[in-house]
Amino acid sequence: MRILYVQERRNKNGATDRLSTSFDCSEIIVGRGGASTVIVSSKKVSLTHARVFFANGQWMVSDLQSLVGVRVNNVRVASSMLATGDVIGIGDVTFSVGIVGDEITLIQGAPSDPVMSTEEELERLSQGLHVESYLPRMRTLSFLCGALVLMVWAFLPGSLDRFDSWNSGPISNAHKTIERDCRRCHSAPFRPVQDKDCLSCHSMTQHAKEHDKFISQHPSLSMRCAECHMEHNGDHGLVSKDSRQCVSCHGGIRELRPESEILDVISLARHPQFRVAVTQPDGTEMRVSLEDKANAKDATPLKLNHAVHLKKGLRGANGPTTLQCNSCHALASDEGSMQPISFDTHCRDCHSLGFDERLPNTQLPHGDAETIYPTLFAEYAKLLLLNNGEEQNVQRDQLRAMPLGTELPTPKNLAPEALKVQQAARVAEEEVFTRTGCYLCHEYREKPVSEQKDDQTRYTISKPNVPSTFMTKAQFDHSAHENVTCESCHEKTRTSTETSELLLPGIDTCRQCHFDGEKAGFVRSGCAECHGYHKSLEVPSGQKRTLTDYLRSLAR
Amino acid sequence: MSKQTFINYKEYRWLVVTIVSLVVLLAIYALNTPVGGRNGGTFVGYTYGVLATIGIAWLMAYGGRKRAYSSSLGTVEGWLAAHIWIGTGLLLVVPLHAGFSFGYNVHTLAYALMVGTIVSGMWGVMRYATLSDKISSHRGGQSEAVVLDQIASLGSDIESAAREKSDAFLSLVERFDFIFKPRVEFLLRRIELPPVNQREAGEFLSRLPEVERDEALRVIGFIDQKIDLAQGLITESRIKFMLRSWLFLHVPISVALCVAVGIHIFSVFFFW
Repeated sequence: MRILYVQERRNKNGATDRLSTSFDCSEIIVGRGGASTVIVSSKKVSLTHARVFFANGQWMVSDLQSLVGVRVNNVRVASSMLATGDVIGIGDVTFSVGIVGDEITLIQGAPSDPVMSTEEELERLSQGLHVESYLPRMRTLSFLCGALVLMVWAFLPGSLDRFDSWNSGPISNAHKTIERDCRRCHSAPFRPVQDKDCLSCHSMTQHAKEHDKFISQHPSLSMRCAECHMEHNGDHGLVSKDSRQCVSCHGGIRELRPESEILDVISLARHPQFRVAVTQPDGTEMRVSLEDKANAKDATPLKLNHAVHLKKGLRGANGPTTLQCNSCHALASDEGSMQPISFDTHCRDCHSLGFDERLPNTQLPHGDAETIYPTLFAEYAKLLLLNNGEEQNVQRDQLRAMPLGTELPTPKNLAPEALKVQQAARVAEEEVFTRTGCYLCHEYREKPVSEQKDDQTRYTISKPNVPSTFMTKAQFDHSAHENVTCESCHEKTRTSTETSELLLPGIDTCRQCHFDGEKAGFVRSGCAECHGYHKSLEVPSGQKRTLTDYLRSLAR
Repeated sequence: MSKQTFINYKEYRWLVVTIVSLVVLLAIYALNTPVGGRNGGTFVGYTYGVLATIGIAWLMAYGGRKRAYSSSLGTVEGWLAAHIWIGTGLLLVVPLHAGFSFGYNVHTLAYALMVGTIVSGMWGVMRYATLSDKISSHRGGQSEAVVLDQIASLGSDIESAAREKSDAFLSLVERFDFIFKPRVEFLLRRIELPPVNQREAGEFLSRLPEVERDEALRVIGFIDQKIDLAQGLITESRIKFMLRSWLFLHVPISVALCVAVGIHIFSVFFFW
């Protein structure tokens, strides 16, 4: 019988060394103490821990009342037969069993850790006390973090062609539909947004054309659309109402455009007096400062006496009436501007265009002088027929309306009845054009004899061309000012007797409440408060697209 | 007079520089009301962006300066003071650059990473300010290697003493002795090694043969020493962890910040 004890050791290179000891006996003691046959240096092994012996033709192992016991194939035993392949556990040491005949081999397993020198062991222990042992190298971590950012926020947007994460600020609501199509505006990398990028969508507006024309006239300005229309600032910048943008040009517009008739403006405080558009007798429009008393006159060929119209107890259609400003000047549906004055709506109630007492329900039409004579002829012809040819009545009234000494024209080739009707119509025509009806408000002119025809009106009326606004370069919101009386701003209205008197407030009136910037008690008022920049933003209907075409152009 | 540290370096020179700079920058920011609102694209916005970029580059340069032992370009302590205070100031400069506009984008990511870098730096500064003096006190001025060697020697002494002794003696050693093996747990939480329980040790002693009792008392003494030394190392390693661990956030985040700033600059000029 022989017992072969093999001790495996792992050197510092990780290789396994074997140290074999052969015992020609049938029994060995495994323990920590010197009395043992096989000495194992372990604090978990008792002085004499276990006995391996041959009895009755079998190799056996038994526990010598050790502290932690003996285990065979991980089962604690007091005594057990051994077979090839068994693993004996003695304390924290294991032995693999191999039996050939009456020889047994016990192979003590190598410790998992290599045998190290004291210095190495200390170094290993020391490393275990530092955070570096448990984390990747800082350089590696840094590289990974940088690479992650580069990958997610640079390569990924680039490779997917989705640059949402590069968006430098909120897109204005107007451009939301093209928010993800960065190249629609940024057509060339590393170049500011060019006008052609804006015009690819906006070329059709009058605004763009005006700007284009302006820039083509002043190439030295090199003013891009995007310099005023600043995107990626939400809704703040796209259509800015900041006066400084206006003043950057209009503060010195005379330098930029010497030929311009526009005056330099740098603030409301230093805004020149309002210039109003007045129509000249020849029909041309001229802008005149309200300070220019000689020319600042309403040349509208109308006879309007505000003082009379604002008197109390006027004779109205239904008895005495007192007119207010809004009796004639009503807010338009936009509640900012005024409705145009209409004779039928605002005047006819008081200013009847009746022409004969016998026709109390018949009035002349308003708006076209050429309709007056045909209307009169038709009405008198009807009257003659209804009176069954009683010419006296017609004749009498005609004569009553005629001024003394009037010579009636002598038409030719007319039946006697027609002649009577025509004469009556001519008398009434002259009456309404020269003394009543039209004459009250309009200036008239008798056509030259060469232009007069038997069946047409012989007078013409100067077209009034009442302007819808005198301030054509600004907008005024009447509804925003409804808490003050009209006469607060339109002074002297109650005493105005002439149409030519412009009853418009000057800029000093505005300055009583409005101020350029922040000032307690004043409304902050920039240029855009009254002025639109190149208002014509409407797209001509011929250039509009269908919704389908528009969405297709978004490529989404 | 208080001791000069990297925080109060030269009577808070860099704190003063930072505060004065911020006051000036804030005043300009408040007085400047650009058309379209304050944002990174205005003159002041660009200027502040350039200043912030230079500031970040300077902060990153500290990493190089502290390793450039032969450099005479200011003291490392001075650089560190500037690193801390200028870095703190950037927390405000960058929002001023952006007009306090933030969003889910790479630009805000750069700011978030900068905040992460600075906050982790503040964490580190606080750790250094409160913990750095405590390191050597835990090991009586001895180096870590010496203490580990002492622990190993005590282990050997205990093992030698236990050799050839009775199993009762071994039980006593098994019960009270320990193998000092550093674990990550030492770094993450406060661990107090319990001393040898005297009453329990007495019970073990009573079971020993008479001849082994003196030796057992000596071994218990060894174990007590071992516990003291190990406890010192454990406490120290945790402090060191607290002093070093923030850098594992601070440095990688700062590198990520540099990359994000690079993308930020690239992207705003790519889509100018």
